[in-house]
Parts: sequence; structure tokens; C-alpha cells
Amino acid sequence: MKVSEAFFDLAYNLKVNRVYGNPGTTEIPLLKSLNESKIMYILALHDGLSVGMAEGDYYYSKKAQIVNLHTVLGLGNSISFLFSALKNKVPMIVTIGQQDRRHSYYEPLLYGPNEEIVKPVVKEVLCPFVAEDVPKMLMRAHKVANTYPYGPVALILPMDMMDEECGKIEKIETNEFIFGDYEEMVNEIAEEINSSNNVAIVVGHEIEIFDAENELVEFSKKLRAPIYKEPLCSRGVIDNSNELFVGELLPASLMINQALANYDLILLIGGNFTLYPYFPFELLKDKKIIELSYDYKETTKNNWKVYICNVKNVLKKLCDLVIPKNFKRDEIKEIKLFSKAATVRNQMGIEYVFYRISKFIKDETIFDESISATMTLKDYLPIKPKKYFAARTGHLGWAMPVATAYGIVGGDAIAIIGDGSFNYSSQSLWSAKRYNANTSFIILDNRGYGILKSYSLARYPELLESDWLSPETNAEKIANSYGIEAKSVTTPEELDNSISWVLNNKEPRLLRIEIDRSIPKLF
Amino acid sequence: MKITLLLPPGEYLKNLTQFITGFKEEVFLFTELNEEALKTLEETDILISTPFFPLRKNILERMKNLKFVQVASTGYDHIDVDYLKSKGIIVSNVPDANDESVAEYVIMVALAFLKRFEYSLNSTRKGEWVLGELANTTYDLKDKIFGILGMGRKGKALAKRLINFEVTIIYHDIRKLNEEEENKLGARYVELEKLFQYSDIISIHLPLNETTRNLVNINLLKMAKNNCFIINTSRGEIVNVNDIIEALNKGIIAGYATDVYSKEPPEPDDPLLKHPKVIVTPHQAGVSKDATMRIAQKSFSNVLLFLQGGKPINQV
Repeated sequence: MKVSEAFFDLAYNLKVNRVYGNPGTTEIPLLKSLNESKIMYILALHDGLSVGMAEGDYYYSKKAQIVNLHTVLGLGNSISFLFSALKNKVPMIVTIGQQDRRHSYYEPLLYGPNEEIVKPVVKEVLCPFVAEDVPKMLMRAHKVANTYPYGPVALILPMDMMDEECGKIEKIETNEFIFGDYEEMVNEIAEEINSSNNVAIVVGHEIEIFDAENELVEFSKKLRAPIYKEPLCSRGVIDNSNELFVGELLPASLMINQALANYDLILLIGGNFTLYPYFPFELLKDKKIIELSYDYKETTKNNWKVYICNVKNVLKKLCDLVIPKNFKRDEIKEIKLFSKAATVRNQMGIEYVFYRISKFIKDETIFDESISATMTLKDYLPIKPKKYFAARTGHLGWAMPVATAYGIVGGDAIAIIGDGSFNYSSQSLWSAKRYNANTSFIILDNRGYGILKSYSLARYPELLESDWLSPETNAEKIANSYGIEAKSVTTPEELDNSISWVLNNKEPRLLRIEIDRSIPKLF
Repeated sequence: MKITLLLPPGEYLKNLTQFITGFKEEVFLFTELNEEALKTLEETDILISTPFFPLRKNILERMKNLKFVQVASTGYDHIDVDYLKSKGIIVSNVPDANDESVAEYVIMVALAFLKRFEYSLNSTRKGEWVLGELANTTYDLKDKIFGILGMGRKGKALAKRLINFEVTIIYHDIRKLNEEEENKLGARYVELEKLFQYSDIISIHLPLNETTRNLVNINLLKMAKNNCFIINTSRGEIVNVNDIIEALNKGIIAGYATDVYSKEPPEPDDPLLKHPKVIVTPHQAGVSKDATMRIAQKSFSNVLLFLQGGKPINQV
């Protein structure tokens, strides 16, 4: 059996459904053995987008798919997407083509140091030396990618190796994890909780990754303590209408310290304190913090008590042991948001736009890359577990391909994206059209880079007039050129009909909303 | 035809000359309800009336020629409308000429309270520099929860102006607005108890009737936040004065501003007048010079319409 045949034979058995890529000559020897009746090849018009699409696929299918990158150049194009997949803990197998080994000494065209380049942005790099290794390494890559913390695993495949002979793998093995019953640990944590007067719960992405949403709700109901989300939370985690949910922490030590100042115990459950702008304040100094996480690498950054565990199991057990506190959240939070939205209606302020969008959203999954508007989005839109995704990296151009693939493989997606972000990956629209993605694209057009303007306003106001902060393009026209139905809306009077138009459709559509271009005060 | 005007005294009357002299009919102006006025009323065909002169059935019965009463204000509880209607006499009011004036007044006293304007002004005039104290004891309207009790024209005019102060607006009324109206105003309906429970500031804009008399009593006040400030520009009788004094003295609420009294002008010993936590004004909210001219213009236009055989607008 040829290596290329053994590769896909195993891929079929691993239940891989799709290969994403934009191939070059170095990948053709592998792809010639792909049986498209078993695994579909989905074409992206840019290598990086194929990584993003595999990520979107995972969010719907819960399966690690294959990404097929075109040697060093395709890899180079994909670095930011791989980095996001790594940080977002999304498993995928990334094959990277390599030049024919027989003349690699000469460093021919398309030859490159793939292993060195990819290493920092994947969980592991596997480089088979002999043909026999390829199926074994695919198996290993699949295991590594699917072992928590999940992430992309690279497999570098020289093109000449694809036609060599090798054996096939008959038996599929997976790693199974057996978690202890945590009895001692749980009792210890419960004791700490019960001896504290004022407890805050801070939750993060692991809640969703370990399917612990129900356990979190039950635990918090029992404890009746306020729930915060980790800063820049990339997942839905908890319904934002939950009676104990207070909001998301801001990604700065000063803001986190202020928000949690009054609590004598902070339970950090499956999340991180991601920081963004620098403040010269130590994070949560002298605070009692208990962290539950399975990501031992992340937790080593912290100087507080950490329990490495499956948060689902621990939360379940804690429910029976904690004594209730008496937190009540602001009962008129929703009315406050409504009033704020009404204040900015006439100028198409972002609060008003999101408020109206919230009236039309049903059960769609939100892919958020609204950047300067993301905190507002999280206040106004219905955020639910497994129905909200964002990049943990600040990656621009991420949401377009991710939402596209989610809509292609069976999900109902809404991508909410700034005009700046849209221009990084607008080619996703071609794939959306070609594969009929059930994805609605909403472009919030403030005619420039809102986040940069906000930062400049706070630190370097002299830069605000710089031309390079305000590139203007027209997403509607770009969408039309890819054959996507699109329209623009500029006034509050037209807004509702336009939102309804873009959302109530099974085919991809794009709505460009001209929002208030006032600079938000985010820093 | 004889036209009689019963208006409170004041400089503003000079501004009405242009209207009065325009009539071919006999026009009488009185600023107090004395014998001469009562005698004239007996022969009057058209009356222009204001809340400052209550006209009950015993007086109205004497006005045998009366055909039309134009009330030069929004409120008309000073006059026995049921009796007049039973006699086929038309009664009109001016429901919208001073909505803006009232709204502006409410915002003024809300800000005066939050910024401790009276204390700040008096201290500074006395040469006392109380900046440090004010920095720690004054507040912004922004982000406060503003409750509007009564979402009629005045309530809406207030909400329309408040929205730019970036406050959260809640309201209570016997009639809930539809969603579109709420969206436009940025105001959300809540139950009466919730209005008192949530609001930092409450402004009352209700008509006086048997349901609203003494509506704001100690039971309701006990639900309010202890930083709550209540503003009454509607009718004095809607707020139970004893209860509000009790609530202020016990720290149940923080302040009260009233422009209206059960008796106007109030007696010199009215407890509201001297209370340090009460802002008092002489029923001025809706009677700025601008509003007065708008009311006069609308009132006289309606009288002209009636004289020309037309059907007066804003009949109550």
C-alpha cells in the first residue's frame, strides 16, 4: 500500500470527515489518494483560512479534521490561524507538504524549514523519517490533538514519501483518561468555601470543553455566589441571562483587582486571567484564590492554590457540600442596557445596533470578531454555552472562515465582524458561496480600526488623525463580487428589516451596518 | 358675548394685552375672585380659567350664560367638569403647551439635588470654599435610575430629554406604552412598587383623582432606596405630606422637591417650606414666560374658534 493510501485509509477509520486546504504541487502526491466519497475536500482561497475552517468545523462536529497546508509558504500564511487554534484549544491534524527529499540538499523552490517554523504554534510536530512512520504518526497526531489541552498537531510529509510502500494500521487505539473521585480535594475546597463570607466564582472556557455547563449552573444555584467570566472569554460557558451571572472581567490587572476587591475567596474554575493593557499592579495580590483546571501548563503561571482536575466532576461533587451565600444580581440590568441603547439610537450607536440584533437572534451560534465592540456585544446578545465563540488571541480575520465552516458542516452561524477584521479574510465568502454555508455575515462598519483609535485616544491622541487608522472599504460590494447577496444599512429606521433579512435565510448573506464612528473609550 | 379671564396676578399679564385687545367682544380680567369678579362671572359667556382659582358647583351655578370654559393649563381638577358637562357647557384644556417647561424644571431640581446646588451657592457666597466636601457628596445624573410616575405627555417630554443624560429610565402608568413607544423613549414599564424600589430619582406626573390622592404614602416610600429623591410637579394631594416628612426625617428617602401644594400658596407654617431636605418652588414648573405665551396663544385661539362657530379643540 502506498503511503498516501495508508494515510487516508487510517483517516477514514479515525472518522475524519473533511480535509481543508488550498493545495500546491507538494501536496498533490498525497491528495491523489483521497476518496472524496469518504472525506470531502473543502477548498479555501487562502491557506490560513483552511485552518480557520477546520476550527469552525470542530465547533460543530466535535471532531478533529485534517488541514492540508502547502509547504513553507502555505504554513507561513497560516501561522496566525494555527496560533489561534492552539490558544483556543482546538484539535486538528495539520499536514504540511515538503519538497522531494532527494534534492533537498539544494534547497529547491518550495523547500523550507517547516518544522522550525511550525513548532511554536502547534502542540507537537511530527516528522516521519521513513514511509512506515506515516500512518503511525497520523495515529499519534490524532491522539495528541485530542488529548487535553487540545490543539493542532503538525505532520510534515515530504512529497516523494507519498508514493513509497508501507503497512496499514488495522486497529484504532485512543487514550482514555480515568479521573479519580477527588474526595479529599473536594472536601478541602468545600471547607474553604464554607469558611468564607464573600465568594466570587470566575469561570472560563474549560467549563464548556468538559461539558460542565449544567454542573456549573447547579453548583452556582446551590452556592448563590456571583459568577464572573474570565477576561476575553472565548466561549459561551454560561447563559448571560443566568440570575447569578454578573459579567465578564476586563483584561487588565487594575480592573480585575477592582472587580474582585470585596471578595474573600475567588474560585477560578476552568479559566485564566488573560491580560491585555499593562498596569503596574500585581494581579489579585493577597487574595485567597482556588483554581480548578486541567491545563497544568497554564496554571503554572499562577501563584495560588491549583487543583488539576476535571472541572465537571469536581463541580458535581461540590454541589452537595457547599453552604449557600446570599448574592442577588442587579435586577434591572436589562433595563439599564435598554436605556443605554435608546440613548444612541439616532447615531446608530453600537449598543442600539446590538439591542436590535438581539431581538432577531434565535438559536444561531455567534462568532464574534467585533473587537472594539465585543464587550458591548456580550452585554446585549444572548450568549449561551456552545453558542458563542471568539479567538483567544486578538486575531483579526479569524471569525470569517470559522463561521463559514460552521455553516457549511451543518450549523447555523452568525459572524459579527468589524470592517477592519472583514478585510483580512474576505475570501471566506467564496467558500461560503461554493459550499452554501448557513452563515450570516454582519459587518459592523465604523470605517476604520476602532480598537487602535481607542488606544490612541487614551495614550497617543496626536495619532488620531492618521490616515492609516481609517481605511475605508465596502464589504457589500466585495460580497457581491463573490456572488453573495449583500446590503448596507445606515439608519435606525431600516435596521430591523435588514437584520431580519440577513438572519432569516439558509444561504449566506452579508449585511453591512454603518455604525457610529465615535471612538469608544476602552482603555 | 362676554369673556372673563381669571388669572393669577403678575408681570406676565402685560404680555397678554396683545391677545385681549384683539377681541371685539367685551373682555374682563380678574386676578382675584372678589365680589366684582363673581358678579361679572354671572353674565359671562366664555371663561378662561386656571387652577389658581377653584370653581366649584356653587359658583358655576350662578353663571347662567356660560357656554365655554377654556382652562389655561393641563390640569382641570380645580373646576367641576361633571357639572359643566351636565349643563352642556364645553370645557377645553391646553394639554401640551408646557410639557417642555415641566420636563426642564424636573431636570433642574434633580441636578440641583444631586449637585447640592443650594448649599454650594450659599457657601460660596459666604466665602466658604466647600469643594472638598462637595467632591465627596455630590453625584452625576448619568447612570442613575430615573423613575417616572405617570407617562402622559409630561412624562414623555421628560423621558425624551432625560435620555441624553444617559440615565436608565423606568416608568409606571395605568397604561403601559407599546414596545415601539418604549423603544423611542428608552423607557421601560415596571410595577409601582418596583418603581420605588429601583429608582434613584422619581418624578410624579399624575392627574389628581381618587386613585391618585395620597398615592405616595409611607407604605410606598418604605420601598424606596434611602438615597431616593422624589419630585412632585403634578398635584400636592398625590403625596401624603405627613408621610413624606416622616420618610425624610427617618432617612427612608434622601430628599423631596415640590412645586405643588394641597393649598396654594401654602400656609407659612407648612412643614414642607422649612424642611432642610425639601426643595420648594411656587408652582412654577409649567409657567415659564415661554410656556405662558404658548398657553395663552393656544387658549385664545380656541376661544376664537368657539366664537367663530367652530368646535373647540382639546375638549375634556
